[in-house]
Amino acid sequence: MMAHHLFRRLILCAGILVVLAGAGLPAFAPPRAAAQADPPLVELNEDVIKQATVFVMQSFLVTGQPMISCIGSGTLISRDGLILTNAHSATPSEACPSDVLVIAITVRLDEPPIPTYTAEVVDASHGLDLAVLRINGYLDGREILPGSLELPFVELGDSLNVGLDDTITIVGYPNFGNDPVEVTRGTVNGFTAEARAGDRAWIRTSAVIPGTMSGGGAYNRDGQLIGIPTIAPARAGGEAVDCRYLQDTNLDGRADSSDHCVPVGGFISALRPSRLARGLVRAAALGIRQGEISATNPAPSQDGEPVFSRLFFSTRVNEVGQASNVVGSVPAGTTSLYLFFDYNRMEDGAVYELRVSVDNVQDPTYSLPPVTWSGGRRGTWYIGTAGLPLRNGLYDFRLFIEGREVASRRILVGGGPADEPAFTDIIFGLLDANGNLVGTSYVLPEGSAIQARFNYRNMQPGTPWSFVWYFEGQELTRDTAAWDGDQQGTRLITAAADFLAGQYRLELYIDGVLSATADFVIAGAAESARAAVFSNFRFATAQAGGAPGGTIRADFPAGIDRLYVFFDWRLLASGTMWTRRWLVDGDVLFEITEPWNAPPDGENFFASLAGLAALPDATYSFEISIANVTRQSVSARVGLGQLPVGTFASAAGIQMTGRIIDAETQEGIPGAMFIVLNPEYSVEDFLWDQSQVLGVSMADSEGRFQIPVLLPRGTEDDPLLYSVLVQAEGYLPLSADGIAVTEETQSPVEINAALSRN
Amino acid sequence: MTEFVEIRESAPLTFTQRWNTYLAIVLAVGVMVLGITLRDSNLNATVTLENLESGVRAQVPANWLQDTRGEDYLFRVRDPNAVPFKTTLQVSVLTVGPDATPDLVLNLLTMQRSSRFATYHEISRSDAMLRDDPAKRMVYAYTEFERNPALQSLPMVIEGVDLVVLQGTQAVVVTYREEQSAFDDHLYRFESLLRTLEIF
Repeated sequence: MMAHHLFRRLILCAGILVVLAGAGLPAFAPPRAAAQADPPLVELNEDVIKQATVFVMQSFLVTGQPMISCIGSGTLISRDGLILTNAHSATPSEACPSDVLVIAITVRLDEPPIPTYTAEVVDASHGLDLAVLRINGYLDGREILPGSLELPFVELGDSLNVGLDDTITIVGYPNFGNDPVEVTRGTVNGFTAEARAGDRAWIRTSAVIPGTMSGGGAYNRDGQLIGIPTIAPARAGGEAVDCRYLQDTNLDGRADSSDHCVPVGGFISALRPSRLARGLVRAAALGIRQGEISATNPAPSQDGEPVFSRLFFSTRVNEVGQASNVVGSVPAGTTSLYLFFDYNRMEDGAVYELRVSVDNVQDPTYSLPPVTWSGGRRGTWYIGTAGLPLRNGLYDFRLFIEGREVASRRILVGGGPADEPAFTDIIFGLLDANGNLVGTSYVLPEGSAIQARFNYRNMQPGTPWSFVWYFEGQELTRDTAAWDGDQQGTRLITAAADFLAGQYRLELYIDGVLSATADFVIAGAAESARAAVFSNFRFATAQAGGAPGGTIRADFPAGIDRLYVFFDWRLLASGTMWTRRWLVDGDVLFEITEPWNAPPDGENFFASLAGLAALPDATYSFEISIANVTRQSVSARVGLGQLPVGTFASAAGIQMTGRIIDAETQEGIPGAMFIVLNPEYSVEDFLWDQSQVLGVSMADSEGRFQIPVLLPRGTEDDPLLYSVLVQAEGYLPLSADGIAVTEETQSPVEINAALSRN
Repeated sequence: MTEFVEIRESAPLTFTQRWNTYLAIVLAVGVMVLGITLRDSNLNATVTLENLESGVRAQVPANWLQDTRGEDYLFRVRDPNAVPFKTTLQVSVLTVGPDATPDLVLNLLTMQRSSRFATYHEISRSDAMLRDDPAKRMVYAYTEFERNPALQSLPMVIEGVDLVVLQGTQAVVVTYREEQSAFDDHLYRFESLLRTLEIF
């Protein structure tokens, strides 16, 4: 009996030895309890957002020594190292001399950033103060091949969905790179309107944000980037008002006021909405840039100080960005108020600021902190508040350029609705044979008569009113009369003249006070009461001597690296503001508004797109607008005619992280391999083929691992089930199936695996 | 109360018991040998990887992570168990001109790697043969470090060896990389790969 027991024991031992000796077979799967998923702690994954936040430094060399010239925060927006930040801190300028753009990253969340990479500017908009950078190398000079990085990143959210009183999270570096990344929470307390960007040109927040966090990120509850905290360091007389002397840049042995100082802004209260960055980001992700454009002769720049004139207030802006009315005061409860003004001799990138005081007390809610100018050299601009109740009081709006006050205007808010006479909503057109107004627009063809239609209310017979027509800023004609119409209604006035191509303006006055105004452009020839300006659009793959070259068609095979659009034009006056847009699959990539600098008539004006490699398959559209009125839109297909599915990496999903330890010593196992399989494979199906693998991470010196890709989510009804394997030499492997990820699964999922020695 | 403890000499094993014990021990040892043999055969088992387009076939260790989708190699296998560096075997094909030499290919590889690998430097170059074809062998070293900035690891010194053989207008490059201290121990993997490599 005893021998029988001994025999059985030996057989059992031998069996175990066989199993142990055969360890390494993929089918070996330990109990699932060996891998435990800890519940996440936070709703918004701050860790990922912090890791995706970088510190941007421009540096220049002094006798071979790097010196910091400008700093800011930035945010990783793609796995392969695209960074969204402010243009003023990332692009070289007089204030920011730059030889190398250094990116410091968050390695440990509670420690300052570590300079790790170099970067290049892919594209920048100085007007919007946004730039997209691409990490291109390590600090020791080694290059980084495109697509080889796998960094934590965030997705752009829809900033139009941000509402008043929404809670937002702002992330950035609060200092000169000597503090950890900081998270600040605040609420949305308003929106600032600006010409060309609309009522939500800026998101205003109550959060207190240091100036060095400019360029960082503001996030909604879903952890999506909805704004970029932005402030331009204020300047006065060309010098930064607020800057810090950090280094001995002139090598005189002292760091003092004779050295280069690093400019910083004050406190930030404005966020650039992420939608304004979307084009830049998409273009950078697709590897598309603007190509060459027809050579033009830009108007000579006028030296001198910027000039601001004709300031007035309006409570409504029409679809082409013009004031629908002119107001001298507004009743209590008004929610929108815009300050319009004409400007000249401005430069994109100049620092401007609006300070609004209510009853002589400055109110940051309605003010705009120093930001960069984006309106070009001259034109009409507006800035104001939309969708935010204005409290009663006497408002002073003061405009500052480079720290110097250049214009101001005052308005009273309060009281009941005014019953004063007013003109509103001017629009222009032509009369047809039946005397009807046709072709209403703000762009009209050349001709001998123009009609203006406007609304009026509270008019009394005999009230003196007048109108003035202008051409290129010069008075063309004016007339004054006593009102002879009804109290309210619509009226037409006619201007008879040889309306040549150019920019015109109509002002309407009641009793000598400006009551309504509108601008229009005369361009092109009349075709069915419409202005025909542009014609004969053609797409081509090359240009030769200014004419289409290569393949000329609207349907191109995949693989072309340039796309040109050619068109003819007629009767377009020099200086007329025009806008061209390139769209890919309906999304705007580039939008440029500038004065027309070519002759009034001509053929084969061209603009182009260029790919860093080949242009991706997509439908490319080109749009032209004059005075914000879209005149033409044409499209061409490349390859399949649409972007491949999944072109833009999604940051949606969960992060898997954790630690691999020795079960006995509880110490990390450096180099241990953690494998996550694609959800369609279980451990049993795994054939050690990389194509079955979703992500792999090697444990670091403390046994920590982090899967470099995010795990897509399933649904509650249909969760995605992941399988994982853990391998290390000298240890029994571990594996587990059925790790469920649904839309409710909180990120990051932390898995701690304890391996036993074999 | 008195407690009696009975002490008896254990009875000698019977013939049957003795032989049962011997048999059990022999059986256990046999099963252990079988297990170890199974383990060794499992660890040394190979699978065939081939790329018909390039005409390359080779035996690589089974249960290593196989990747045939890389941009700069035909196939690459890595030992998932190896720590701290995953022992790597790789076969690549480069298109070359008719006047190319193995040294030229190695020069190209050196230039590419110098900008991608930290502290990359060539250690030696020697003539070799792959079956009956003349080949060139280059040993090099570089520093490998964790590319995920969220993880912290000390850099490792990696030693590598390339064997280049020209076949018409293509150069076949066979590569082995291992952490420097284990390089010699696992060099046999590379030699095994070369023995089974077929270029057709």
